[in-house]
Amino acid sequence: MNLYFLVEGRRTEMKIYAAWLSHVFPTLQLVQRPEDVTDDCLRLITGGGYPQYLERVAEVLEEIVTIVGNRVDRLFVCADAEDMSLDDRHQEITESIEALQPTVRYSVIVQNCCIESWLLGNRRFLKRNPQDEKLRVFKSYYDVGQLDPEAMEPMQPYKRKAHFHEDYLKAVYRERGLSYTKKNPKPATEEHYLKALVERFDETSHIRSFGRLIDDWRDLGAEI
Amino acid sequence: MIRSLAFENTATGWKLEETSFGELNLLVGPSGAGKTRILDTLRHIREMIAEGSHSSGSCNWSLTVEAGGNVYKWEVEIEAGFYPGRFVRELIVRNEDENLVDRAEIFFFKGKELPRLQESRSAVELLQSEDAIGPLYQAISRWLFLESSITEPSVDIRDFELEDHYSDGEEIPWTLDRLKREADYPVLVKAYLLQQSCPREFADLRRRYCDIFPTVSDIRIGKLQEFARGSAVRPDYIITVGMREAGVGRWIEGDDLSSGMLKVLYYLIELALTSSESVIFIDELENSLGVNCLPDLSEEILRSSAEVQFIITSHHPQVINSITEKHWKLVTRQGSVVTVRDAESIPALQTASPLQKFTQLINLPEYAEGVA
Repeated sequence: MNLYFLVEGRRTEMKIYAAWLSHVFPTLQLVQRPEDVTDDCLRLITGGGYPQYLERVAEVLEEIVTIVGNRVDRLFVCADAEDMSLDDRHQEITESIEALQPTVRYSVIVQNCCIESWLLGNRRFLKRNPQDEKLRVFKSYYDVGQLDPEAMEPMQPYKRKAHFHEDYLKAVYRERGLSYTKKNPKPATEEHYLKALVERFDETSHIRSFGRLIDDWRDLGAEI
Repeated sequence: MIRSLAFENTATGWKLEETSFGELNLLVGPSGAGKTRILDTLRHIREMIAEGSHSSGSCNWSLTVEAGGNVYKWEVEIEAGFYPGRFVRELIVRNEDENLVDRAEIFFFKGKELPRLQESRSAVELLQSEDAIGPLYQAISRWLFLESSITEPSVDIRDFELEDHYSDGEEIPWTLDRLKREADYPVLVKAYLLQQSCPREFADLRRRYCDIFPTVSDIRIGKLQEFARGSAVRPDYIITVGMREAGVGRWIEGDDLSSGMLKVLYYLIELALTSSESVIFIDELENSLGVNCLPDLSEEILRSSAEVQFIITSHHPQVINSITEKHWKLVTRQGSVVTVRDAESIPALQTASPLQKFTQLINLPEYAEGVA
């Protein structure tokens, strides 16, 4: 099986998808060049941010046809919803792909509103009675352990949802004596973290946009 | 032309591994890798031959330069502590086997011991009048660092001595060749002289500029009074740029032009007036330039790179995409050690992928993990 991933961001997504895919599909070989795609390969490409990554879709589709000879089982195009709704962003990406008349089967994965929103879904990682002052404030405003992180609106004075979600996640990490950075999102890259998110989706139907990714992976044979 | 450089700041531990350079060098890499620092290092070396080592910290370098048909290797060790920096070791070898300078406790030039010379001055500077060393000195003197400050929109011409005379009193004309060799003035003054003395070359420059900015129909470098509005008396010693744009009835003067438009003009002037064997350094070519002119400017640089060596840094997709990867140098840093690799040596870039080159670059693990 060969999978292609075109992700919006340069840093966090590249690290997280590469790590999660190695847990879920351990036989897939990450390749750097399309010429190296053979039988069980993964190609993971960053589109360099929004909206540039949309322009990359055409190039990726062309690459799949001309170099990989259409031997790709699924193309995943992954992006943040940011301040758009999940459905609007999904539609925006789908329309731009459809306009290119793709011959490959594809899935659009929208991180609602960003990948940090998903990572907030780990109930085991979030401490019940945090000491970190900021985290206490955030948790009393919106407890992501109880409520769906995807539905969390920004508290004042945050203007953008994604900034708030990221700061919330940083506070969760800090409470654990860890530091969350876009460049080093560990331990979110680890298998136990991924499993905790899957469990959250399965049990509560929270982080629905993450669930679409899991559904697709299960559809491709992942036992997760 | 700079062929290679290795440098170490022995005080801070910052080190540039030996790096080779071609005619056109586009330094790419993640922020913080050391692209600007490489340019600063070369600027530092350039200053050493003009101002001596007073302000230098402890460092050493090995620089190979092609000049006047010969290849010079210049190895230097500067020591500084509580005292100002001093050259404690210097070697200059021409064409790999001809030892020109060997300086330690005793200073030898072509095998002959020299009297004690200023320790704060490099052999290249001290011996610049010697036929053997002069070309090396000249080559380094011709390193030109184009700064963002070159967008100064006007200049006081009284600050410069523009006329020189033969012994019979006749004025020496500013031919294109003389402008390239001798005109050590701000870019606006050089442009003024070019316009006065070399109208054909100036017209060519104007045409190329108007190709980049199609709304501009004319350019003139002149005294403020030439662009007079109404009857106001204006100083005749300030020169500025004037442009005519479609739909604007008057000359638009330097102060009113965008810094990006001025910058492109100044780049073109510098490119037109740079003598061969020069090296032009541009840090972040894209600074204050719009996407409408970046590809054209890159094209101008490519065209000039046959005669002039360029060392440029950029983060911008349009610049990076418009310069083929055979000219890229990927800069990465591990701790204090900076390594520069030719993009051609990176296997992942050897692909027929239709992904644009900039996307391929940012997808390289070497790029993503380029600062550690």
